[in-house]
Amino acid sequence: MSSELDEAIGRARSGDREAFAVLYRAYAGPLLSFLAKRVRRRDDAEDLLAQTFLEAMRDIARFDGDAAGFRAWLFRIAHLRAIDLARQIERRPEDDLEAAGDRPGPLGTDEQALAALERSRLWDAVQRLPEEQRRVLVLRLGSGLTSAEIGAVLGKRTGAVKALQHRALANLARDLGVPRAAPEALQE
Amino acid sequence: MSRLGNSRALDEALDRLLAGEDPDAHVRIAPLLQTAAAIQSVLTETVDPATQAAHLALLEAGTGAPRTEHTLRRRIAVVGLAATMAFTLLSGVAFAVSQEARPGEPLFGVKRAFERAGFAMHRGHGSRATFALKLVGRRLAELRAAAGNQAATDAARAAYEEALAEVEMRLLSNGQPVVVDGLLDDAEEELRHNVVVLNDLLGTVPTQAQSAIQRALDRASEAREFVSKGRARRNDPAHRPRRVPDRSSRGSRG
Repeated sequence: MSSELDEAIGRARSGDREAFAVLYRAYAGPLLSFLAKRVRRRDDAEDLLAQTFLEAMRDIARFDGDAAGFRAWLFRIAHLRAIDLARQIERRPEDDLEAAGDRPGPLGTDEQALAALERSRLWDAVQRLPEEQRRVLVLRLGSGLTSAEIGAVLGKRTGAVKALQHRALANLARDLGVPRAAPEALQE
Repeated sequence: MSRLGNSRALDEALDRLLAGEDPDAHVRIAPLLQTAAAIQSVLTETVDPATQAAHLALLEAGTGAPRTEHTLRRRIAVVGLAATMAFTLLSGVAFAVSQEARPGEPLFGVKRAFERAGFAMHRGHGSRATFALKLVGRRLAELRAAAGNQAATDAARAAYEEALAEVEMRLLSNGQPVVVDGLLDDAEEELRHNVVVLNDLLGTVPTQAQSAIQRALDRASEAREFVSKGRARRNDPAHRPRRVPDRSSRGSRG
């Protein structure tokens, strides 16, 4: 997959429109996973997604690297655009309702209702994390970036990212009541 | 295992988890891996097909010949104009067919996805606010056309309210205008016209549609009030307007 993306990046730099479509299909989902957790409205996240790709397409001549570097570069653009939008948006009471997309929808079968409640419980726990930890987790588990890539996106050292993700998961595990390893199992 | 060792081991195990392999984690970090696996699904999003189609069409309209560094600036302006023109000429069955879709119909969501993608092509607060105002006009026309049908009226009312919220967001930030007074004047006048139209509509629609129209009317009145207050704040010497930089033309760093 990586070599296909390397090739698509090369063709995209030459203006090949289909190549950019390949890149969109490869990265849109992970980018939306990141953006949807940065802004309150789904529409804004999709708007930012479009802006990110348009900007990447406009500036791709400046990019020089492989697929791994491209992904970090793309996410960096998305991160900056999300910061811009956050500065523009006024928080109105209606915005809390707009975020209802993150909460369970209408209850269907019992199984669906239970699944929705569990999702809500997990998401609420993620929301309680400090912003930095939450952001690292979204990029790591939602968007599938490596720690090094996350560091490039957020402007942090890789070691700092690893520490944040460890703290985030430890906090979440405690919040969700995940049983810790038994002391005897930790004997080395 | 040291704390540093834990972080490193966890990171390596997460790499394996994300690659679909057995994480093979040390027992000490197993609860953290279990937590990661549990929350992964709530952190992952997918792009719905309508939005994807709209975005791909936008990208197709925006691509062109290879560009070099020194022509980049000129190219940005040309691509912007070409994209605007080409966007309206897009083939793609989804785009052409969806334009006639009405609230409550299956392709209405596709139509709105294309409209949303259109925001990305407008640069600057003023241009986007103008586009948002145009969409309010479209939604109002759809609401008027839907008034005889309960389901369509409800869908049209919801879409209309979203369009109003979009205009508010595009015109003001933290209660302060981010566009010129002329545009605020236009917006206030447009919203005043919306209130008049909805008031008239309220007197003519069937009983079952009246609560939806009343709700739309209340929301339009609220939006008009919001814009009016925002403009008053800018003109009030007691308030120092906050300048919101328009960063839409800022380039990326590769």
